[in-house]
Amino acid sequence: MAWEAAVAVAAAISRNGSARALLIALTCAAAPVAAQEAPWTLSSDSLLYTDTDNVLVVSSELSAERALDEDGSKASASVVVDVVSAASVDVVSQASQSFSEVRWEANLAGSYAIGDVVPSLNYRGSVEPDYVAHGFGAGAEARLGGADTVASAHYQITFDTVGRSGTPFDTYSRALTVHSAELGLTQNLSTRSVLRGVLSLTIERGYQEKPYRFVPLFDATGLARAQADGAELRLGTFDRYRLASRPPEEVPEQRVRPALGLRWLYYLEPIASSVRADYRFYFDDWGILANTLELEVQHPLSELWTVAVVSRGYTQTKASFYRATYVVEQPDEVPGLRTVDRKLAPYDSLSGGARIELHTGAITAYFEATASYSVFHQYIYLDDLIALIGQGGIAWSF
Amino acid sequence: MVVLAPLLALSVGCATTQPWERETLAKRCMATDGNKHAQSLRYHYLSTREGAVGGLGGGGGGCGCN
Repeated sequence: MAWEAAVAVAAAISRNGSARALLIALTCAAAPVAAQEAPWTLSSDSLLYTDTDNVLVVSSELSAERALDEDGSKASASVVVDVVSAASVDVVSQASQSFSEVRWEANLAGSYAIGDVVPSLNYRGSVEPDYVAHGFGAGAEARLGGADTVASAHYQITFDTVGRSGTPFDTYSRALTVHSAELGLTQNLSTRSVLRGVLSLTIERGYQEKPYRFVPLFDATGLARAQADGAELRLGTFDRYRLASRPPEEVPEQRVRPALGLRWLYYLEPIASSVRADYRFYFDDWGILANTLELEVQHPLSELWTVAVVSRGYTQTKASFYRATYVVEQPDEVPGLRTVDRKLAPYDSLSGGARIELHTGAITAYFEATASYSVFHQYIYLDDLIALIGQGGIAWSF
Repeated sequence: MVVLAPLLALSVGCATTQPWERETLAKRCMATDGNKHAQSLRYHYLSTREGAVGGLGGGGGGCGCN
């Protein structure tokens, strides 16, 4: 807010250079005072997700933030609650009942400006009946040689404990440690264009399976029977042709996951709108390669209202050990690595939506509606998926 | 690192705009971060649906929700 006001003052003086400029400057100079007088921001955000695979998720977040100065020092706390209700193919294919689950998450963060550098610390804790996680992070953001270049770095380590619903953690638990490092650089390219690059590396070590996932195995006899019956191996038929043994999912202990993200923002003067293009290139040592492209056009209708249209395309290849069906030579043979996780299958997804925002002096609010369509190419339980996502929030500064 | 290091070296102290030229860059619709709470919820659900993480957000662990 203070930065916007300072820029407006400088712009007004450079344009007018007169008593009118002084009047504009004095008016705008009041804005930083207002910002200092409203250091608190309380916000509430919610997301509703539902899809054709019988999954319903409601996520809500309540947060409070206190600005400590105009240079980026602040402290914040938030609580997130997810309520998940699912009878998806992931559940049905395991002959399990549908389930409902609640996850709680708490976040604490603080930053303190020292000159042009703003170091920060954060904690994130997450609890659900079969999963507990504690994450600790540290980072810094700095202006390099002026306001046109901002560099950032962040590291987070998360200690996860994976359990099984209905079983005490003392009886069954597995550990997973996640290291996430991120380097970012934001550069003003011109008076109407900004480019950001973010390089991230996530390393996961430990238990990465789901304890509820069991993998169906097939042999030549079973496949021949399916062929004779004219049956395709799908959710409703695979059980008839699989072998009796159904071993638990098994994936590698370690996963190294680099990604490069680029964000380009450009202001289109003729239509008074901003265009945002995000691109992400991701690959990992499990063999997945993914490309993500996101486009957004944001148009202020007035001082109060802004509208935006958003679209996103995502495509990924499969993990090297992923198979639509695992076929073995001998009935007692078990493939070393095996999974039925559709996040490790090849698939494409396309989504689009619109958002409306309201900005008054003290209140900001938004609502966004998105629909997405995903196609799974080698997943016997599901061919495609349509999802609807509604998201809204309100923030009050005082 | 291979990509960002040269960018960083090239851009340090690289002033492309003067303060009085940043009126457009300071507009709300040109904010590079957007609404962080909205993005956090969005990246959370995307990370439970997609095989990729990181880049412009959504990296890290701490949730078993699949």
